[in-house]
Amino acid sequence: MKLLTHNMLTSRCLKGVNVGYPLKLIAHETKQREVAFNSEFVQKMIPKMDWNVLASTAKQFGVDLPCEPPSNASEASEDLLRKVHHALLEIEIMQGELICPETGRKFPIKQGIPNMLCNEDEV
Amino acid sequence: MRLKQLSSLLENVRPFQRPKIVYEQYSTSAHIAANILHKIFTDFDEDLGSLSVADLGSGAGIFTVGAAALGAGYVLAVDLDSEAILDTKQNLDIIDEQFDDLSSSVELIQADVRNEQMFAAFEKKFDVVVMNPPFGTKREQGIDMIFLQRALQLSTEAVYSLHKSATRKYIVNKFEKVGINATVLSQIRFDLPQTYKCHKQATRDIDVDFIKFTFD
Repeated sequence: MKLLTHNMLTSRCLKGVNVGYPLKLIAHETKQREVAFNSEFVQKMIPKMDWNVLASTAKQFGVDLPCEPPSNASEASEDLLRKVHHALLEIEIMQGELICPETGRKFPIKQGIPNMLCNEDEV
Repeated sequence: MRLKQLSSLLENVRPFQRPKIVYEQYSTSAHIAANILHKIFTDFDEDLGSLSVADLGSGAGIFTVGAAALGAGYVLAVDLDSEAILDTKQNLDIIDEQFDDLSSSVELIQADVRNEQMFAAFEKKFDVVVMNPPFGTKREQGIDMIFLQRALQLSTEAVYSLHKSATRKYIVNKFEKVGINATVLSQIRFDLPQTYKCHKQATRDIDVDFIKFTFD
């Protein structure tokens, strides 16, 4: 699972959960995977992301992003865009879990694939 | 990438190992998938590098593999069935071995497309959705419309999807009213092989529309 995906996942589907975001990410196994850099893609993605969540999650994996997103993504330096690209796409969580901030319900990540299914009695 | 190349690459994608009738799982052929993906490729000037693409009800993953092969920046495949997810995973591994880590932009998640809450935070995060949704002919009528609504909710540019021709009028009218254009690009004869025991004939042909949805 990539951090880009983590940025969009919530546990709002659970009964009684209002926000369910961000999901706490526990990584037992990670790997780096090279993905082709495309500056336009990163520029388009920046305003779509929750920057605080991205920055704090990236930090967990040793990637330091600025506290504030670039105010104008099209003017961001290539250096920064490459860093954001790396954070969004190149860190892969292979084994771990996503934890609902309100209920503590765990969603497992196995072989890099998060399982976001809820049981019938949970929704 | 030329259509022929894409089609032959997609020939490497294996179909469902154990298709399930309850999810209306049947595989999209390499030929059909290649044609659909190639249409997207040309619509976006043969450059998908900046695109974020979602494949809802990804099944064995043929659209996902194809979108990655065409260089999409990020491809999200969503399916609720663990076995389909594993089929996709295996297909990605096969493709990566042959084509040098081709699927590095792909994400696979197990989730239920019907769950609106689950996808609330995915709203408008994708440029394009490409999918072959369940047609809703089996146990769950209306599932095709739920997939379509989800796809339209997620995308900003277009949705490319397959629907039974019998529902064409209904679909075009329904979405026209809310400012969404549905353009039927082609009609395909789906030759559903006898995947399931309940199909009495050896094969059953149904007419399917390849529809592109865009926003006004």
